[in-house]
Amino acid sequence: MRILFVVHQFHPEYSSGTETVTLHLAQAAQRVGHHVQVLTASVRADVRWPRVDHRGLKHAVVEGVPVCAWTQKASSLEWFGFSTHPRDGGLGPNVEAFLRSGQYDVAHVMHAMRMVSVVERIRELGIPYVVTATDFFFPCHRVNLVRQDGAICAGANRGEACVRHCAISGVQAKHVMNRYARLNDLLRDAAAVIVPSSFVKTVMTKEYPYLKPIVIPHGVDLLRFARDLSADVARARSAEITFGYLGTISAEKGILTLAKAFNRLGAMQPAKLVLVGPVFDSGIRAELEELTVKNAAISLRAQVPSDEVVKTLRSFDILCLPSELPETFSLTLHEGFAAGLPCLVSDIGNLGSVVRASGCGATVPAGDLDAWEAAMRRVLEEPAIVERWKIKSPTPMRLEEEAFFCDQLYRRAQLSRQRV
Amino acid sequence: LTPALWTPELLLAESAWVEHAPFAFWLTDTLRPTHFVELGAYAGYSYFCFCQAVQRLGLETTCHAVDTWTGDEHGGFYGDEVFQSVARHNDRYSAFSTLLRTTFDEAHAYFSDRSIDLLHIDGRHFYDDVRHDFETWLPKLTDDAVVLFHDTNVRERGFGVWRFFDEVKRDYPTFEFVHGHGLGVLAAKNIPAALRPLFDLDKATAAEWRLTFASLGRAVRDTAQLRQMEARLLQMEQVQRTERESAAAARDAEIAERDAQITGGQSRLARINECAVGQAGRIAELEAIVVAQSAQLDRMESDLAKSQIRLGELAEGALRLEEANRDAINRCETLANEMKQRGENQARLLATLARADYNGRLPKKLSGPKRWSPGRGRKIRRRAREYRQLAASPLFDRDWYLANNPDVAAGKLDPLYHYLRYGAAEGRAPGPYFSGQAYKLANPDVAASGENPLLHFVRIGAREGRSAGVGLSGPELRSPFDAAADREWARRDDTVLEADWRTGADANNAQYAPYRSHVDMARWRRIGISFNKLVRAPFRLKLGIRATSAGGKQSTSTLASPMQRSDPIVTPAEFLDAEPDGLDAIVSVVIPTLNAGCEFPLLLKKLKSQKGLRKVEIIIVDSGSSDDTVELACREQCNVVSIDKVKFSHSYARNKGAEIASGDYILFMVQDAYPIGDYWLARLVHGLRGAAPQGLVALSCAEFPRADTELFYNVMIDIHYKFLGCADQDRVGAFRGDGHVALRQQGQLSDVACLISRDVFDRYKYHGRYAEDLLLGVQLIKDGHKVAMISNLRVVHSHNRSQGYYLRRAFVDVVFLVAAFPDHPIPPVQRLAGILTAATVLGQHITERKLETGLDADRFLSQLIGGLRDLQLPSQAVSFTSAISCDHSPFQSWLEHCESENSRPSPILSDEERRTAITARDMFCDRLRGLQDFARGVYPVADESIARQFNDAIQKSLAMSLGAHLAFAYLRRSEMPKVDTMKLEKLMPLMIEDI
Repeated sequence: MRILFVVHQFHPEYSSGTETVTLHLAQAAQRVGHHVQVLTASVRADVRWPRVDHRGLKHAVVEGVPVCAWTQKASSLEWFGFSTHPRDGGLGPNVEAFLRSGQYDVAHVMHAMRMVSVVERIRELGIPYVVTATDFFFPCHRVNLVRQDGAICAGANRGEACVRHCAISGVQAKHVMNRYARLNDLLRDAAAVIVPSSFVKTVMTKEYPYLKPIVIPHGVDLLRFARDLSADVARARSAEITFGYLGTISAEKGILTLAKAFNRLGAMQPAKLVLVGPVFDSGIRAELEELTVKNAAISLRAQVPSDEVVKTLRSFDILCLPSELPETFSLTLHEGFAAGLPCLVSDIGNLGSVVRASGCGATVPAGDLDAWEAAMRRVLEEPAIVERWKIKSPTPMRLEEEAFFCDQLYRRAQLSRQRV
Repeated sequence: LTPALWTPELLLAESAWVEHAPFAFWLTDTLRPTHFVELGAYAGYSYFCFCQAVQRLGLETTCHAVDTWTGDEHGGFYGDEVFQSVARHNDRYSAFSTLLRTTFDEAHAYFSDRSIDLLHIDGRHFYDDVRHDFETWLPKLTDDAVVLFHDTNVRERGFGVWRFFDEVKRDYPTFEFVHGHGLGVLAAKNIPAALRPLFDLDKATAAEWRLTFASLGRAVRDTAQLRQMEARLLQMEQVQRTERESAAAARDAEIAERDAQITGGQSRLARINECAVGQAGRIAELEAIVVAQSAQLDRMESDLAKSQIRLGELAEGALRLEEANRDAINRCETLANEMKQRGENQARLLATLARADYNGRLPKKLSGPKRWSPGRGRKIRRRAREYRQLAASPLFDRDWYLANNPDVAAGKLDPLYHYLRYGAAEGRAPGPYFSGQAYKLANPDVAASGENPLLHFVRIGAREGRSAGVGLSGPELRSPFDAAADREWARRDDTVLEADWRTGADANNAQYAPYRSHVDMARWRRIGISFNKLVRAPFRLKLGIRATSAGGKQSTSTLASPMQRSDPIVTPAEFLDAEPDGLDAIVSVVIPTLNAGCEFPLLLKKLKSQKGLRKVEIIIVDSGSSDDTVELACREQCNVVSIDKVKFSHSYARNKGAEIASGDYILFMVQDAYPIGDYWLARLVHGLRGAAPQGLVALSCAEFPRADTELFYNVMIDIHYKFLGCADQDRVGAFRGDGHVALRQQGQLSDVACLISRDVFDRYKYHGRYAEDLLLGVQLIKDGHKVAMISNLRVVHSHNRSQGYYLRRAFVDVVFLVAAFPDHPIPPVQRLAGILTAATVLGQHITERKLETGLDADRFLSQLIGGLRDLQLPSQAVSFTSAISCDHSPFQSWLEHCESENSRPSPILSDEERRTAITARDMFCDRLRGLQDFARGVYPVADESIARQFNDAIQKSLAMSLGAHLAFAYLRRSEMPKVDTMKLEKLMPLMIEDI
């Protein structure tokens, strides 16, 4: 089978979560004998690609996976699905020629940002496509269903809510409504729509009642966890309990709430709080550093490379994920499960759904300082609860499982095309 | 009430006492005390109300305020600034007012008994404090004294004044205001006459008094707040005024600076204007240039666009040309084959004809009188007969012979006599339709007899259908590997194969059958028959290749089509749409273990979390683990069966586990597999139950490779699954013939995940040391059942193995297959030295040629295979150990032993050894073609990691080829020289150990 992966950005320009998931899926497809090709948008002029062809398309091979990128010349509004280019979204004949010559059996749209016109062309060419809605890009041009004023959005309501609450300078209401309709059509015509969690499924089904999303959580490299956990000598457990956070450190992730709540516990408790991850906001950094000076039990550590994730998680007793935005999946939560960690999570988004369903920890009202203090105090006063939660820690989906499920959807899409 | 209308000089809006100022003024005026003491003055508001009244009324009253001015729990603690402020304000009353900065108890000593006639108690407000203050200071009061208590109406934060005042009401005359936190008035002994009306008020009047003083108090409070706001306003106005003034000053400075800048700017502008006039002309010139260059640029862009389009067309044209070229090469090869075939046929035809133009004349050397001499006469007569036979044969072409042998023409010799006497021995061809050298290579018996090859062909060979070696002459025949002969051999096979494909005719398949499925498919591909074409074959394909070797067994192998489509057991992705119905079934999972490793806990946890079944029972059959496998299994509440490591075989271990299984079904798994999804096991049971009415009794999952698997394993699995027919669909196998290929294709099960009902398994059980799953499946289909390999529901499993493992695995597989399937042919492997020499030469070749980053793997492999075909065999003995790299030390020792005995008189390979070497090389090339097919579809360009994996896979392909050939040799050891037999006998136990 010839499979085209469509993603808004990719190596060598970017290498964050969606890119890594795409790379894993493409490599898994290669392992079972499929021809794969990644098509992405090139937006960085400072990155050099190994080859540029006669059509101006850029080419690279990333860990065995061939990658092709086109440089989008349309405005950045086009990136977010607003139709600013009347004819083809600035696609030009070269990308279409590339799509035609590839003779793809199926396409997998990993993220449609910057690639809406490409997906439309794929549909026109009759190539069946599978869509992964890893976030809320389809109903929400802000991607996260959080309004400009910071309130959680109840739904796009066919774009009317976007016009009312999230206006963009220079974009008329009709353009917003058009965007909604355009992306709605793409979803409707997809051979399958994949979502990473039941939470996203609920939101998407509410937004698009005709949709039947298939929940395929992102896989975790359990082999690496198994190897690293077996190689890791179990650290001596003391009476001290370590609350830990791993991920981007920002106000939206609820880190200030977590740190302040921990600080309220006072010094008499045998506990510490370890915050690990990059800090991009200098204000947050200053506040946290001030807290670490006042309270030696709080420590702030820099981002760790991926091969140290297991070791870092192993140093925690409880994983704390206090996000104040509704998370659609949270890879850290699932990696925590792989490391056998119980957790305290905010009660919104997928975090709350997963932890409530499994009973492997407690959910805490997002942003509620008193509640976070009480939750941590409860853990300290009743340490046996940690072991009880730990037993209920679920097994996350494995990388290979996710890849196989996608493979099955490709086959089904291909069969449906043959039937047509 | 007139004093009650006064306004306090000190107005503190935030004071709790603020609303009682009117009563303080009224009380002072009414009571006109001689000595007033306040306990707890704080900011001095209440105290100074009394002082203000004393001063304004011109009384002789002395006043004392007692306080530490540090604060308390109720009012809060504060600094020295409060006392300083009070002291400053007290200055205006210093004539009669004294501040005592001390505790109440210490101050107590400074006052005479019966000296105070107005006491205000407003210290700490706890019950005990108030009681203590009252009782301590009671002796100091005169008979007509009045005591005031503040905060009698505060009932929070531990205030106890209200409680104490309630108690003293029983013993003393009292009056209480409730506004302003409450103020109690108490007559200590006698009620002063002036105050009697207050204490004697009826309820209604008392209420009016309370209302009046409360209203007056609110007025004071409002006034205080108003004053406070006025003060703040004034302060803000001052701040604003200051800010405005400083802003104005800054603005003035900025304006001055800008004025200076403007002046400077104006002078610069003047200069610039001057320059601009000069530049205008220059700009006009430049604009003209720009216009001209723009036009040129437009033309260039237009040309560039055309060039790009043309370039694209050329690139596409090049691709088309390349494709056309490839087609042309294929067509040429086909045509060459056809031509060759025609030539062969013509040669055979010509061999049966006689030339009409031959008049029976003999050359002088054969027709002279010596032919009758007693010595040489007989030989001359025999040669004369041969001369006549060849002269009558159209296969000898005199003109062609003279044209292609100028030395003969120059010597003016009779060409036929020359050929008969010298040319045949020298390897010269008699004409365009016959090659003596190729004929001898293809027919070793002729070569061994020393007979003239053309004579043999004319007399015997043509009738026997032997090859005339048409079109194979010249340099090609000089390769020690005899590439030409080999190509001819391979092409002839393809021709027959293609013919069989078109006609469906039966033929023998002794030569290549043991190369296993991928070899067959590689050959199909080579002649342009794709796998898909085979899939769509409307009939059962019977594949056969005529045996060309005298040593080859005659057998018929029926290749039943593995692709007979049937309804899938599981449709793609159906399990993603909905959860399956719950099943009232128990499944016993049997897993043999030996040091199961770090992934084993994942497997157990996954199995235990399977949903949709009544129960999942896990049975571990451990054969002597030294790690924590058994401990972990016990902790996870598995049933554990321990067996002796010596007794272990794949059948024995699984049968032992099955003996204690209590489930309706048994699932056999391996310790490093991993189910996919939470309903995996339930889906398998659903599949087996659903197809049971059609006769299905067992099914296995195809594998889905792990993220860390090696490329070589993936290629092997891809080829194997295509052979089985489960690469992209479920295969339901049934008995379709007793040929080994059909049995393997139809009967294959896999113990990586194999589900079978317990009843059926109890009747059959596993047998054999190896491939117990295949044997079980074959037995089941032979008995009329069906077995399935499921593609749409898989199990995560794959391996990363070493070269040494693959070498031994191939050996064991071949030995097993031949033992298990009596019709399985064994190719003509004749000499051990041929195998090892070939492996050495091939190993050296691939070591020197590596796929590099950025190259096309398909093209590289194509070139590599081409290079292998033209390889020269060494002219002297080679070092096996230096070129055959194997990480299995017993095998390496065996190899060293072989090398030490490889010293022989002649380094030149015998014909048998050469043929063996060609077969070994051929099998290796076919394996590489399988790798090439995978590369072509999946990895168009190799990056560093892919190049490394391909190079590794090439090495492992050679290891497998070597292992398989050693197995063939072992199986033919009885036909080999004794020295080879002994070596192979020693090899066997090394190869099967721990496999």
